Amino acid sequence: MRAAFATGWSNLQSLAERRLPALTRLKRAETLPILLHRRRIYVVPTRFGLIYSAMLLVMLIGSLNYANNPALLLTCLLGAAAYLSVFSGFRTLNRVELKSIKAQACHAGDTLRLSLQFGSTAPVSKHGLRLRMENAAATEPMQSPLVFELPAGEVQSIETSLPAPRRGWLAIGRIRLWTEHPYGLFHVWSWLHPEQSTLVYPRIEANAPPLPQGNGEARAQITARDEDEFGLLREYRAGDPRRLIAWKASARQDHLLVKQFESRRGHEVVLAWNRLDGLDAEARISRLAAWVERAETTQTPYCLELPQSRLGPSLGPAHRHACLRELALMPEYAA
Amino acid sequence: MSDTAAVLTGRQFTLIGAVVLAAVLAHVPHLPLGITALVFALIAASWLRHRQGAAALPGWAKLLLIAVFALVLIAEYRSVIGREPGSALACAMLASKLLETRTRRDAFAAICFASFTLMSALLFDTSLVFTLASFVGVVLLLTAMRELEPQSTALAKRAVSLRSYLPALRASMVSLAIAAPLALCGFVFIPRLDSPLWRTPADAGARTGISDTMSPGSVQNLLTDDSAAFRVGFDGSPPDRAQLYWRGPVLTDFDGTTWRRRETGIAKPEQRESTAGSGAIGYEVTLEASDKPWLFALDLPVDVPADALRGRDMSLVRRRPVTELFRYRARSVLDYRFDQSLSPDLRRATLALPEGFNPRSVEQGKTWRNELHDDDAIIRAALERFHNAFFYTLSPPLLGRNSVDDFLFGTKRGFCEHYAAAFVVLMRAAGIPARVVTGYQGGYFNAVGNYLLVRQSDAHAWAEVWRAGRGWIRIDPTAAVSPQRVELGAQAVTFGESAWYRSWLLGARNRVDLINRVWNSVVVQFNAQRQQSLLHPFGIDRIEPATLLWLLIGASTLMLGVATFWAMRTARLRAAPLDAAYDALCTKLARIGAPRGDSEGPLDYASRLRSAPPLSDRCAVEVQRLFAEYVGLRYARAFPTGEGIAGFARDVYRLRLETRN
Repeated sequence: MRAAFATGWSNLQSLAERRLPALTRLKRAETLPILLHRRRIYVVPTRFGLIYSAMLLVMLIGSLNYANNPALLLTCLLGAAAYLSVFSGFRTLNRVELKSIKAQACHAGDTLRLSLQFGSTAPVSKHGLRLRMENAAATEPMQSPLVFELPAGEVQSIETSLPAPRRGWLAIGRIRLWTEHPYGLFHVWSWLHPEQSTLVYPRIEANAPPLPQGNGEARAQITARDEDEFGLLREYRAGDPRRLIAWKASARQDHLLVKQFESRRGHEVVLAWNRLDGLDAEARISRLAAWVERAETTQTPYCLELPQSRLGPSLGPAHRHACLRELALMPEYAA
Repeated sequence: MSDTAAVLTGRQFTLIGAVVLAAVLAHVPHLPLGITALVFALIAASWLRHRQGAAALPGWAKLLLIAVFALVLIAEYRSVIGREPGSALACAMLASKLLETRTRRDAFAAICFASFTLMSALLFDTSLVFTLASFVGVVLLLTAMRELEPQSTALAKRAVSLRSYLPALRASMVSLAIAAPLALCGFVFIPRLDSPLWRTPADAGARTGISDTMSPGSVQNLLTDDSAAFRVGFDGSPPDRAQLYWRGPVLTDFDGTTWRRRETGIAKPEQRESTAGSGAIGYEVTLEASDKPWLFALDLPVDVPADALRGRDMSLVRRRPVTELFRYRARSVLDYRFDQSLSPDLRRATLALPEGFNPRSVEQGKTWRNELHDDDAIIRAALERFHNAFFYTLSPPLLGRNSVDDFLFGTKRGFCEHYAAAFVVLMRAAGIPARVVTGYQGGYFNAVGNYLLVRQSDAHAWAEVWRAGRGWIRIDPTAAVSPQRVELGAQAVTFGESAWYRSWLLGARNRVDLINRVWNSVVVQFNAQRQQSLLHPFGIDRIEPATLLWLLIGASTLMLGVATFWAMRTARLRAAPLDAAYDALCTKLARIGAPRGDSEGPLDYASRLRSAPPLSDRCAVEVQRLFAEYVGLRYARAFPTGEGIAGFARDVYRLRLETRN
C-alpha cells in the first residue's frame, strides 16, 4: 500500500517535471544574479495550515450554530489574518536576489565552504528566510535548513557548505529558498539554480613520501632564511594559505597582507607523473597534489610534469592553483 | 517537514503558555472552582517542567490525567455533552496539552486548540468588554505563531525580556488591522442559520434574573446585580418614572415559605382590559439572555409580541427560553381595567392561605375585616401601618417559619418582596383577592442614546388586589414605606448602605452603557432576519442566503484583489545610486559638448577627454579624478561601500564644468 503510494507520488513528480519545468528541479541553470519575482515563487499551504483551516471551519460552524456573533467575528478575524498571511509570505520572498557566490578552494573529500551573497531590491526587511543546498541534501537528507534575515538594503552573506567527494568541477546545484513567515500556514518557495561550478582540487595523499630529490638543499636554505627576507607584501585574496599572512604588517593596516616570496631558480624539484610507476592513476594524482602542497609549505620551487603538459618551475599561489587545477581536471581513469 | 520536531526555545514556550493562559482565563467566570484549580495547577506544572527541561511525558501519565479529568467532569456536571461541560473539557485538555508540549508540532496543536477554546469562551459572554478582551487573546495567539517560525541564531538568542516580544506583538496587531476589512466582509455576508443545527440539552444554564418563584431572599441577589436586564426604546417620550412597572411573572400560590406562579392559560377575550383616556404606548425591548421564558412589558401590555403568549394574569411568556438577546415590540396602556368579574377558581386561588402559617397576620386581617368593613379602608390601614413603623433595607434580619408574622410584628425591616408578601397575606386574610406581581421597576434613562436601561438591580415585587367592579389594581406597599424606591430607583434608596464609590461607578456605567447598546444592536443582534434585510435601504427587501454567498464571494474577491495588487506591486526600480551618479556625470559632460559614445566605457571616455580636452585645466583634473574614482568603485570590489558611493555622487553634484576658451 505504502509502496504503491510512493510509486504513484514519484510518477506524479516526474509528470510534473516534464510538464512544468519552471516549477521543478529541471529548471535550467541561470547566470547570477538571480532575482526572485512573482513568476517563480510558488505557494502551498503547510500541513499546519490545512489543520488550522479545518479548525477555523469548526469554529465557524460552532459560532453559526449558537448564533453567536462575537464568536463569529473572532473566527472571521483569525481566518482573515491567517489567509492574508499568504501575501506576507509572498512579499518575504519577492525580489530577493542571489547576487554572487564565493567558494573557497578545497580538496576532494573535504567540505566546500560557500558564501552566498543575498540582497533584496525591496525596501523592507525580510524575516524567516530558509535555505537548503539541494546537492548537499541529496547526500545528507537530515541536513537542517539555514535560517536568515535580510535587512533592507543590505547584502547578507550566508555561509553554507557542500560535500565535495570528487576532484574536478563541482556544480553548486539547486538551492531551495523558502519561507513560512509569518504564521507557518503557507509554504512559499522557489528554486535557485545558479550556473556556477567550483573547482575541487584532488584528494591529498595522507602520509605521502617526501619530495623527490633536490629538496634537501632547498629545505636547508629555507630553515636558514630570516623571517624578513620575503620579497613583498600584497593584499589578501580568498584562498591564500593562512601561514602566509603577515600578521604584524596586517595589524598596522586595516586589511590583511600576505607575504609573497620570490621564487628561487636552481633549487626546484620536478614532480613527474611518469616517475610514479606502480601507482594507479588516482593515486598518482593524489601523491602529486600532496607534493605540490608540501613544496608550497617548504617554499621549494617545483615543476609539474604531466603526460600532456609541463608547468613551472615556479612557486606561489598562482602556480599552485595552476598545478592543482591541471591535476583536478585530469581525465577520469577507470579504477 | 523535519523541523516540526525541533524543541521549543524558552521564548516560544513562554508565548505558548501565555496563549493557553489567556484562553483558559476567558473561561474562568463560568468554570467550577475545582476545575479552575486543576487547570491552573497544570499550567504551573508545565511551566516548571519546561524550566527544568524535563523529557517527554510518559504514556501512563497522560492516561492518568485523562482519567482524572473524566472523573472530575462527571462529578461536576454528570455529563460531558453541552456547552458548560464541553468547554470545561476543552480547558482541561488544553492545559494538559501544554504539559506535554516540547516540540514545534506540539505547539501547533496547542495553538489550534487554544483558538477554539478562545472562541468558545464567547458563547458564554457576548458583551463588548469581553469580546475586546478575547481579541487580546487573538493578538497573543498570532504573536505565538509568529515566534514559532524558525529564526536565525542571532535573533533566537535574544534575551527573554518583555521588550523583545514587542516587534512581534506590533506586527501581529498590524496584521490584525489589515485583516479587519476582510473579516468584516465575512462577518456581514456569511449567511446566518435560521435555526441551529444542533442544540445541546444542557445549554440552558443558571443565569440571574426574575424567576417564577419567590422565597425570602430570592430577589436579594438581583438587587445587588448591576448587569443589564433589558433596554427599551420608546416610540414617543417615556412615561413618568413612577409609572414604569415592568410586569413579569404573577405569583399566586403560597405555601408558607415560597410564592409560585400558577398556570392560568391564555388570556381570554372576555377579560379584556378597558382603557380609559390615555392611548397606548409603543416601545421596543431588547432583552438580555435569561434562560427563562418571561418577557417584560410595561403594566399593562395590550398586544402580544411575535413568538409569545399572554397569560390570563396578563404576563407575557415566550414559547421557549430566551437564550440569546431577544428583541420584541410591545404596546401598553398605563390606565387600565381588566378581570372586572373574577372566576370562582381564581377567586379561590387568590384568597387561599396555607394552614398553620402566620396566625397573627391572619388574625390581623380578620380584625380589620370586622372593624372596617370597607375594602378601601382595609387597604389604607395596611399601607398606613407600613408607612408608620417600617424601614426599607436590603439587609434585613433573618425571618423564622412564620416569615410574615416575624416581619410584620417583629423585625419590621425589609425590601420589596417582604412588603409585597406581607401585604398580600394581610389582604387575603381580610377576604380581598390579592397576588404578588414580580418584575422590574424604573430604569435609567440614557438621554444620549434615547433609551431606558433596566438593570437586574431594578427587580421589584408589588401586589395586585381585586375590587369588585374595578378589576385588578396595582398596589405597591414598598412605595408606602420608601417612596424614593419608586421615585428614584433602588440605588437611591440603598445608597447609604453601599460603598461610597458604587454610586459614582454606577453613574459612569450608566453613561457608558450606550456603547453596550450599540454593540448589542449592531453586532450581537445581527441575526438571519436582519442580515436578509441588509439591503433594505436600497429597495431590496430580502436577500436570499444564496445571494449572500455570492455577495460574500464578490466582496472577498475584491479585497483579495487589493491585497494581491499590494503584494505584487513593485516600486519603480530606481537605478543603483552609483549608476545614477555616473549618468549624471556623463550628462554634465554631454551638456558642454562632449557626450559619451554609446560603445565607450569609462576608461576610453576618460582618455578621450584627456587627449581632446574641451575643459579648462582645473576642471579636467577634477573630471579625471572622478572617472578614476568611479572605476575604482565600480570594478575594484564586489560591493562598494555606501559612503564611497555617496561621496562620489556628492562630488559629481558639486562639479561645475568650465570650458576652455
